[in-house]
Amino acid sequence: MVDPVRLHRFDGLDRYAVVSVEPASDPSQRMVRVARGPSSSKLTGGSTFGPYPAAEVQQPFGLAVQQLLDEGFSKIIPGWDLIAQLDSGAPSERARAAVRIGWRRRDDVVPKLLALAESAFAANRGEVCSFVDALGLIGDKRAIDLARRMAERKNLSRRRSGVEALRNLGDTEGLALARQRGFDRLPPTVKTVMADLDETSEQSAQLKTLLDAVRGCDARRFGLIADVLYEAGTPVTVAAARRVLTFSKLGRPHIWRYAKSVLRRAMLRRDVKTFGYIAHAVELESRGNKGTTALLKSGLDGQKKHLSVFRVDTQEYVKRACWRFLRDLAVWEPQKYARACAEVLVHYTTQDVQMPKGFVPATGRAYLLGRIVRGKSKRMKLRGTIWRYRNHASTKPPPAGVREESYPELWDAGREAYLRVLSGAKLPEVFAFGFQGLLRHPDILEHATTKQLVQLLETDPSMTAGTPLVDLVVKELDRRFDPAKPDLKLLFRFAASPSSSRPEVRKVLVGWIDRSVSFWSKDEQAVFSLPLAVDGAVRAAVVEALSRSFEGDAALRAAYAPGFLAILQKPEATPGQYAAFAAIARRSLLAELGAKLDMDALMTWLDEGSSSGRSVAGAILGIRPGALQALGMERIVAMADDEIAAVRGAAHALLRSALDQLREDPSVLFALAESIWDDTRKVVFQLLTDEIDLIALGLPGLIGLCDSSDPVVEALGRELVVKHFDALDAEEVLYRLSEHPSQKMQAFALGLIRDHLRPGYIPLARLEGFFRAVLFDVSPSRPIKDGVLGLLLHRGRIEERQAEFAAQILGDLLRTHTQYDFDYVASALAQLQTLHPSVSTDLQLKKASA
Amino acid sequence: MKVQFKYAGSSGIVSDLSKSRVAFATNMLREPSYLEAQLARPLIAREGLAALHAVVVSDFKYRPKDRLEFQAWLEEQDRKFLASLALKSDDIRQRIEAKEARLEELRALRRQRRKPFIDARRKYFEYVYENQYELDYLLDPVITIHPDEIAFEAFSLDESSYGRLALKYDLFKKIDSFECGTTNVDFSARLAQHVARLRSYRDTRFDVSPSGFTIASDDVAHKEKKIDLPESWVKGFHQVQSVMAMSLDRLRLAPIDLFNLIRHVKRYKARTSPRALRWELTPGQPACVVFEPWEHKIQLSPTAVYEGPKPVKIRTWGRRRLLVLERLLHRCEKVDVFLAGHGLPTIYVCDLGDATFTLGLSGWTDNDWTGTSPFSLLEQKMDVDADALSTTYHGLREPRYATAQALADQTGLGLETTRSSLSLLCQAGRAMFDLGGGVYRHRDLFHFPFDAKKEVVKLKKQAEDDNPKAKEARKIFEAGDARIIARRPLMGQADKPGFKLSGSVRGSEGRMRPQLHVADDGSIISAKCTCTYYKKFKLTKGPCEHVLALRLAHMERLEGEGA
Repeated sequence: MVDPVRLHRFDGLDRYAVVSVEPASDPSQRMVRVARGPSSSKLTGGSTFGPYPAAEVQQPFGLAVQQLLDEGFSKIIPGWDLIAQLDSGAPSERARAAVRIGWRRRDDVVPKLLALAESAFAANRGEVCSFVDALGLIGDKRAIDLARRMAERKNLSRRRSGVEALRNLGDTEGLALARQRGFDRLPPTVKTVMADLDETSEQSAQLKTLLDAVRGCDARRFGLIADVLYEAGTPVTVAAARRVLTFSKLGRPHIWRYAKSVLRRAMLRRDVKTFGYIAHAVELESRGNKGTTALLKSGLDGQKKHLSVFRVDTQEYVKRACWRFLRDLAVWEPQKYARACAEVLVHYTTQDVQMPKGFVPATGRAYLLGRIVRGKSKRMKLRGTIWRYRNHASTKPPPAGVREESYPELWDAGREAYLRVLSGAKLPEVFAFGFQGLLRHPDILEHATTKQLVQLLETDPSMTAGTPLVDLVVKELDRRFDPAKPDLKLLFRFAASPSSSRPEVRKVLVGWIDRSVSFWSKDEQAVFSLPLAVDGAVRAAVVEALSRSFEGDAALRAAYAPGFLAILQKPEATPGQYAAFAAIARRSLLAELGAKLDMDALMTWLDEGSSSGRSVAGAILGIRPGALQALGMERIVAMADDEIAAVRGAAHALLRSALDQLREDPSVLFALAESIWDDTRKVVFQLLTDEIDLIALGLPGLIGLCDSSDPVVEALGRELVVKHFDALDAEEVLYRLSEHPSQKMQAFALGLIRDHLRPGYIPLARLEGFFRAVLFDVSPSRPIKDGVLGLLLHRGRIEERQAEFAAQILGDLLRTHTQYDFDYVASALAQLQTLHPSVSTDLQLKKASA
Repeated sequence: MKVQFKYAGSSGIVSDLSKSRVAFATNMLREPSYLEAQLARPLIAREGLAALHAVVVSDFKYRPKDRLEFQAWLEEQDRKFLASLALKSDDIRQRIEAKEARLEELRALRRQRRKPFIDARRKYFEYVYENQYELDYLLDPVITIHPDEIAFEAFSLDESSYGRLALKYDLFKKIDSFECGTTNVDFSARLAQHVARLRSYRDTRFDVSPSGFTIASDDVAHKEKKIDLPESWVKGFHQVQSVMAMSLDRLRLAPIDLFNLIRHVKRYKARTSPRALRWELTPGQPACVVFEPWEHKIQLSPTAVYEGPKPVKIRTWGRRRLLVLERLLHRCEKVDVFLAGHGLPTIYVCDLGDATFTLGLSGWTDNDWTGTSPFSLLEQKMDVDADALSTTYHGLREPRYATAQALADQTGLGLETTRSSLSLLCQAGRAMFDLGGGVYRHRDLFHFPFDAKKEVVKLKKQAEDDNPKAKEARKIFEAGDARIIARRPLMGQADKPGFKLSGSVRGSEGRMRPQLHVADDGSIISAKCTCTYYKKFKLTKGPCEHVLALRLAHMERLEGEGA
């Protein structure tokens, strides 16, 4: 069989011809067919020759081709049309052709491209940028000279094309010169920082220094700074350029042209991370921003003019250019497509969601998202840059198994990009897309690196809710975990990650810590970093595991005690920062730490240490012999009321060891019985009931107990008073109890007064304060008040002097507006005045008429 | 204004079986004032300090209820009701009811399971709130040690109540040493709790010193507070003095009267307006108090006789603030109530024998002492130069307290200049007026040194900034638009001498007819005007510019007469 030959010519009516061999009606014969026409799709003319025997058809076939060649046709080679377009009269056509040739890496066209580029450079035509971009992408070293000259130009687009071509051509010398020129354009403060910067790694400290310097500059220069930094192309400057763009308004004059330049550079470098960020940022910025006009220097002629900046046309153009870039990637560099799309998708957030309107869905205005995720959808169509459903029926979700994304085969080929989508998704639709991919390719988890798996766990929990993603990832990580030789870096990362607070992750992490403690407890970094884990349950597991290890290994304790002491004596950035260290120290290292500190040092630590440090100091004091004498009772009382439980615990131990002292004077226990802390009250109550013989202390001891305002202690006091009342000075007891402000104690005191108050005026008058306190109580207990009124009346009836006293108190109450009290008081006064006419009050008695 | 407090120890009360020690830690950043004494009657101090604490923590400002939870419940009920309407099948309804019952059971179980956690969390937040609240917001009282008494002064959190507890030295059995001065004392909730343990049968030390109770191993201060003191708080102190120095109507109440008022306030809570406490005053008759809106009338004791010339009804609001006096009732011997007028502040001075508790209440709760009521305008202040101010300051600082007359005699500045100087010193926070004792007392509210020149400049600027009415009045007066129509001296009225004036003042609204009753010293006793401002606010937000301009005209006439 003879392959058909395609031919072409640039003039004449027929410009396209195909010579082919066709079967004839007789199977042993062949026909030679010549088809010709104005284009490859309009082969309207031609003729057929033959039939010829199959073995001899080669000759007439060759004659037919030769005849066409004689007519001016030439044989077609791949890309002939692009090469032809390079000769077009329209500069834009030439430029487009150059760019396409660049994508195709056609090194056979380099001489032609070079010649065209030199000519355009000499004439200072804008198309030179496309030629140089293409030459850079093809990577032919012959273009270095031109690229260097381009990189020296002041014009932004020329300079950009030159420098990026040099980068693609691997010309380090030319790049170094360009970099120096670029830095000269930076503001002095940034330039100074750049001089001292280690640019080899994207260290956060380096980045912070650089960004701080940038933030100090005029905001209008942020664009220029971002472009120059990106041009430098080192990890730290590229990261810095991205960050500078994040705090710049892309659509503003002085910023936009540089943002666009960085986007172009990112495309030329295939830097999909930066491309993804800017492509999305342009979309975001375009919402509600129709652009502006500003007096700027034109890139065309260098003149200052009023120019439109970021107008709607430009926005649409850039959005489409971004998709064109992705599409070209899909065709010419398909292995990069899925990753580039993933980098775009991860930037979509709820900010990109708008209220659905008509057939436009919530994410209908997210152009690139739609292109990537639903580019092949039959339910939706694109109008301008807005996605909308075709009709009502199409608003339903697609049937299972139908894939709507563009280039699904490329996603399948680059399936690891789904991991990036899942770990970075901030929009449910994007996450769902990634998760569908994961379901189609569950093996990607097996092939994922540990870092990627950990990143998946750090996905926004609101995204993963209701999906088994976390379970799958945790299962995979658990499968990889070897307790005998654990991946410590993984442990550290997990412990420090907020994702460890997820129940699934927490469970597996706690298990790892427990199973591998024998390994990591011998690693100093692990011992001093795991207790700082983010999650409380994980910290508790670390405390438990490490304490267990320490308890059985004196050498380990001795080795780590100095480190623990140093940490615990440091101030805490946030209260409780070193609480886990303190818990371990209290459980296992008290002896070792105590041996390193004398009493003075301990007391100073207790006074001035951090909350964690104080808890350890308190615990050491709790077991140190002689601490009781050194601290003194006042300090122990203060410790028992401390807000740190461990300090209180130590105080409780010390109080228990000070029983002899407390038996002599338990007044501190009376005060502590009112502590706000349950544990202290419990200990004190237990000491008071079981250890202290309050009866031996006599009246002051019992009354001290009753003076408490804690209801439980008060009740105990009352119980003891009743039990041992015979042994006490009854009158003194009741006088003292009558000063208590609580109603329960007043009721108790009233009972004692009724039963034990001696007769006569003087004992009664001593209780004036009590009577007034009860009678002038605005929220009284009725029985107590009645009791006092009754008592006064009763005592007043007995004797005139007592009647005067009672009348004086009752008289003060006579004007009460409480009806019940008034009736009682008036009646009592009337009785007293009747019985003892010398008693006078405000109550005037009238003699009853006969 | 950021005010810093630094305490070497804590205030507290420690008791053993036979003795107690009350120790107040004073602000180390203030002048080193101290008092070391033995209390004779600790129960009076106990009740007084409890009442002061009640003032410090009281906050009666209206805060709307948070009804979010209720609204959510209501919506849920509506949703259920509507859902039940849509259900046609009894079977489905029963199934839903069964499921809801089960859901409620599960919720109850969940609540029960989480209860320890929720309780612990609540306790934790309460603890943090209490402690942090004290450190960040609670203003420690100002304590001033005088030669005859020790006084604690404080404002409530809502800045609408002012409390002053003065403990006379007769309350002490023995005074070992003291140094006069003003400082702040640590006054925590814990201290208030400890105060309840004071008893008369224990010897009680009463120490005010920088150390308080120090248990730290060295002298390092372990308690510091930095409170952003609102400017209003400072102004409040001045406004209190302004009101106290005004000519007020005084009623002497028996303790039972105050008991009746407080009991009524506690027992009844008005749900609708009006909620005023209406004082009905009839000359020569005991006053009576009416509780709105029920019109419950409480007739006061015969001691509460009104001595004014004509019947008056005065309404004051925010009566629940009286509850802070509850603890003092049984210790009170008498209560003097000073009324400034309709919607204006009321002062209660409780005589506890050897102690006095003064409670100043602004016209209503949301009208704090400083907000919008420049009572200082009611006073008359002559132009005082820095020398006179300095002389008065030092003249008062030496004896620590004096009447205006005694101080005028001592300094030779003349009574009016002395009064004006004292008024300015009160405004600057350098002196105070003791309503109970009727004397001016030296009291440096802040610890920075006194500079008379700076104070005069500052006060003038403040007067212009704070009192636009005074500025307008000055403008009217200087333009000659204030004219006295009638002027009558009140020679016969011994309790309230002075002048009654009526005039014609042309202001921005046109010509107005203010009427004025001024004391001899020029302070306004009562005033009326035909302007909108007076019709709307009466004197609750201070006098209008027409009244003030008329007073300026009167003062000028008085000077011309050589008074």
